[in-house]
Amino acid sequence: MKVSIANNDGATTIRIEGRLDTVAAGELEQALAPVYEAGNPNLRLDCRDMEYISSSGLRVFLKLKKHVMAQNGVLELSELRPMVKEVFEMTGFSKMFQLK
Amino acid sequence: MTRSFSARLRVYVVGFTAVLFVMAFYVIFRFSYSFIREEAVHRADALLDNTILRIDGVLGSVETAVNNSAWAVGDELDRPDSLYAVLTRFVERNPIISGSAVAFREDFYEDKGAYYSPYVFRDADGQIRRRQLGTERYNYRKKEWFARPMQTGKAHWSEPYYDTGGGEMLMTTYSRPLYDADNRLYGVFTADISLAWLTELVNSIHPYPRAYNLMIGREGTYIVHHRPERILHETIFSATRNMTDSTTQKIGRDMLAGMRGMEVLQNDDTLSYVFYAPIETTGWSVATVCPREEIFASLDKIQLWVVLIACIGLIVLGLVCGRIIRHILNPLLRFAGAARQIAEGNFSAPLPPSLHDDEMGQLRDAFEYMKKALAAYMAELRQTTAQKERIESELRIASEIQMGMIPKLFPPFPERKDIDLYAILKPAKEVGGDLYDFFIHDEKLLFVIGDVSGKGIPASLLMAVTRSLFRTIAVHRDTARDIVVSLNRAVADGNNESNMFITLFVGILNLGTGELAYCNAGHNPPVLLRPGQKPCLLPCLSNIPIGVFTDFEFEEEACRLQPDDMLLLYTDGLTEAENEAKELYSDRRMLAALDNMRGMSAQDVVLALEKSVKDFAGTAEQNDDLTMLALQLKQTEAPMKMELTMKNDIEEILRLEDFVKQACTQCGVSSDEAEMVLLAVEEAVTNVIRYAYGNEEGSVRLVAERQGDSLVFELSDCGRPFDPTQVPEADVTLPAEERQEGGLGLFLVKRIMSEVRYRRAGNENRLTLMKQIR
Repeated sequence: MKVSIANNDGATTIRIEGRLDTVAAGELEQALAPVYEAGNPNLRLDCRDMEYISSSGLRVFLKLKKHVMAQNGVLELSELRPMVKEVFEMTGFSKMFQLK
Repeated sequence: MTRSFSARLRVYVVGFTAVLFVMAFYVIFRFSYSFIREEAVHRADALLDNTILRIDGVLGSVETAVNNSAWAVGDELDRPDSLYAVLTRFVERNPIISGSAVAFREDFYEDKGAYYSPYVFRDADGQIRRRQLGTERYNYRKKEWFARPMQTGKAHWSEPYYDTGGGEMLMTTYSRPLYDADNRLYGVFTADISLAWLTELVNSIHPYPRAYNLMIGREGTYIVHHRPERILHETIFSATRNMTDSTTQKIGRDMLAGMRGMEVLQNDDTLSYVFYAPIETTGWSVATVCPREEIFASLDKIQLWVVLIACIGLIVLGLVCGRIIRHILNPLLRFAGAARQIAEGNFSAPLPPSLHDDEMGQLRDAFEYMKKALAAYMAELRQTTAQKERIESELRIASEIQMGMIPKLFPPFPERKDIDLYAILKPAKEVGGDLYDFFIHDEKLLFVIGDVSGKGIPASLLMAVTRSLFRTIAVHRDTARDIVVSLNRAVADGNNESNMFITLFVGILNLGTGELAYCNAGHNPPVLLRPGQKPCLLPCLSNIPIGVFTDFEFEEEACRLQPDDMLLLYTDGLTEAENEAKELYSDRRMLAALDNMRGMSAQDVVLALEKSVKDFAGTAEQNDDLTMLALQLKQTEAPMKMELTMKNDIEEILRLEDFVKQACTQCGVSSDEAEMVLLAVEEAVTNVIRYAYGNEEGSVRLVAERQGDSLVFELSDCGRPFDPTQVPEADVTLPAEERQEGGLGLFLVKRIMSEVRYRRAGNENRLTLMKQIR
């Protein structure tokens, strides 16, 4: 998995590539520590190249969602790969993230 | 062999000689016999004639004496007593006469009684005595010697008789009637002769030592006989009445009839010749009886000697013949010995020397020639054989090399359960122009079958080239068409001079999907055997054989093989096999034969088809290479089972991806679905790694297995008992703010997998995850 974080236009863009499995979820958690500290309420999640997600990954997404909601920010989620989308739909995350 | 030949020759010579002898002897003896017989007849006749002549002579002399003395009796008629003196003188003068009488008719002299007959005779001592015959006791009136002349008036010889009261002996009497001056018959003048004398005379005939004579009187009475008791007492008829041979009766009749002759008589056990002749004077008949064996004694003797000499001669001839033949055949024996030695290969065997330019000499020359010719022929044969052996050995090696090029070890892929393949290649000659080859590359089976035009070494060379090219080219080309095009280019470029071409069928079978891509270059279309259907030819474009046009655009085709479909590839050595009637085996017979082979393995199909075509061909010679390749795609009920053991370290889950994806691929789970399965497994494993052992070290074992139409994962650990199925499901309908961390993992496991089961086995937790395969 590869994570890259960029700040522009008042929003923080988090780009996740590759497989977000249980091990990668731990790494992502650590990588997101600056985001939580910066306190920028508006987040953009670019998951177009994320091939896989496990429940640990979902947990990270839930944490981000709660964080944004607490800041009254906006969380934007990009297009999802089919596998990831399927998992989102199974778990109700698709509703949570207002996916079409 | 030679012994029997000489024995046979000896038998022929001796036998032929013996036959000649027998024939010659028969003729000689026949002539000798008739000659001797004639001689005997002459001799007996002469003797008889002589005897009769002598008897006649004696009788004649008696008659003459009586006739000459009759006048003296007439002179003394007046002095009856002086007649004694006349008679005495008469008897004295004729010593042959034993007695003489004058008998007067009854009452001629009154004083001399009724019968007066002065009689003068010699007594036993030779003294001359006189007597008067006419007594009362001796009445001569009835006696034959008196009565007959008195009755007939002619002289008469009486039948022999024993004169009782007269001469007292066996005698015969000549009686001459006496007439007086008035020509009146007054008495008879008689002369007696003793029969003893006659007997002596007759018996003096002795033509043969044991011959005997007999004489019979006018009534058939024996007068002379070698058995004296028969004389006067028996006739020839009474004596021979009991004889089986009736010839004697005939002889008797002939003799009485005064005939002359000869008869053969079987008397008791002796064969006799009887010669007989009459004595005219008295009407008697004389016979000589000669035993046959005496007449022919000399002939018999000669015969015995001749036979004896002939036998000895034949024996000697046989011995001499044997020696001569052996002598002649001796070189032959040595020739036979030499021939045997020559036959054993000793061409320097010595031949017997030939002394003469005869048949043996010619044979020797022939043998000499044969020896030389054989030696030359053997040398030539040895050379030819050596050459032939070298060629054959080279061909054998070539055949071994060629056979070594094609895969011959069956089953070729023992570790694979999804493909059954068998092939044979039977060259018509030592080396052939057929080829087949196959190998698996990248889960694909690449195979080829081909037939080089022509046969023998040129074809085999091109076959070797083609097969090597296929191996080299095939792995670097993606499609069957590319393989064929490349082969065509390679063969056509290097093969312009010989104008040979190759028909080929190249196929690439995807073992996972059963997809078959194939390219046919002028080869016989393969047969597709599909369960539940009749065998049929795979639809094929024919294209053209390779090696003809360098740039020909070959076209590829494709189809999909279902599990248990079988593809049979073959060369025209199968369909164009001929039987004795020059009929072809043909597609029709092949398909009919295959129709009965459904459900059989690749090997069984190939071997059964080979037997079928062999039975069809019968004794006809195989005139083309025969190659068959059968391949069958099999239902992969692979008992797939994989196992992975991990530590309770979260990093270990990185090992799951390969493991789960491989299991999914082998079970035919699509890659999209495989990701979800991986997710479920990962969640379950993560759960165990995180919670089962607390802070202790432990391990997790994961087994993946196919069971029927399900892919089953079993996760086991020795941690504290925990049944994930009892954990309440996370409520996925809640909004984010109400959501709890956790619970999602197990929720996903249950949603993704078809079935999730937990059990505690001993100190192990066992979680079973099943995913139905679509």
